[in-house]
Amino acid sequence: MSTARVFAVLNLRQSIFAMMRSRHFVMALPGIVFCALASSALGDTVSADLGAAGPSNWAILSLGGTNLNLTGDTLNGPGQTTGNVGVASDGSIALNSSTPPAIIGSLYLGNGSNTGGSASPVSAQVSGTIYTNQDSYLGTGSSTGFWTGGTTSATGVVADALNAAKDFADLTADQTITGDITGTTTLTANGSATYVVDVTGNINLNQTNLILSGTAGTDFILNVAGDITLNGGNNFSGGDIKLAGGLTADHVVINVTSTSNGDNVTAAGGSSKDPNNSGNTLPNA
Amino acid sequence: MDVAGGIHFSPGAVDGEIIGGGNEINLVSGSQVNGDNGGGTGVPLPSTALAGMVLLGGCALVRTVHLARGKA
Repeated sequence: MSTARVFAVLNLRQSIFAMMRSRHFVMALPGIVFCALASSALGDTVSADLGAAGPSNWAILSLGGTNLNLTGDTLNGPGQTTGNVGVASDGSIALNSSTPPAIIGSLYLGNGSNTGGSASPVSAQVSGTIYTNQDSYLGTGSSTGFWTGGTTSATGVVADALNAAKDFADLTADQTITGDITGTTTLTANGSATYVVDVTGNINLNQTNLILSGTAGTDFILNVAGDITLNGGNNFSGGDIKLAGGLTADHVVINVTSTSNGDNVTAAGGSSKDPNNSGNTLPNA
Repeated sequence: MDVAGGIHFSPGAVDGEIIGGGNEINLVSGSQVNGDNGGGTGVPLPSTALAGMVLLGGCALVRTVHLARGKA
């Protein structure tokens, strides 16, 4: 079944919600739950599936869950985040930018989330507003056992994120890379609205690049079963996942499907950032 | 997005969004995240749980519209 046909089936199945949910898992198709970019003729799978967890709302979204030992978000300077940051219960976030604010946007904290370990005053590290007790919107829930088939009782934005991760992983792959990607590689979408690549191993870019290519408006889903390691070296030469051919970051998802709760995505480079090279760049990691 | 594991940049950059659900999202040594929302408030204001419900309701409506489009 081509991706275009899959997408048509996807829309059709949405006519009956219960049926949609049933097929959703049986046929491994994504759901449409969001509206911002939903009118696009090409590739609206990414924004639709991420729903309220999508990049139009968040720069960083930290999922919570009382069954996890998380979430120690640490934003240490001089780096900065442009956009809103959400920390669902019971996560924590430490803001210690040496060039505050660490967050150019607003910070949303769940009822059980906190800013422990941050520089004082915390308000100086957030340019926008710090909203607390946000369980009603951020939602709650855990990803424990999520990839092994366990159902989730997550709610709100957390549920949107978890369901989207499952949806993306369940999509039928247009291309499968067996093993690791270790050298400069280009993956090119075939022109369908949604192009899905499954990598069964790791992505290890040591001063090499992975290029995702597709026309503007194409949704590009990259499911990675292993780890992603990006190393730009001392001069940030390579170590990037780049986009080409008109593909834009809001239509790209890199979905790590590893069941490990360790650091599955790591990036490192020289001691200082090269202003002419963003270095270790990922779209929608 | 890595809903089960952690993300560690020292440094690194993301143009878009990070979704993490594991042990940590650790961004140090000049790491950057350049979100699409540009620091705007794309989410409902917290004091209004109703706002969230409205948003979800709106999405449900769009879902229905999509259904119609899908059928067509």
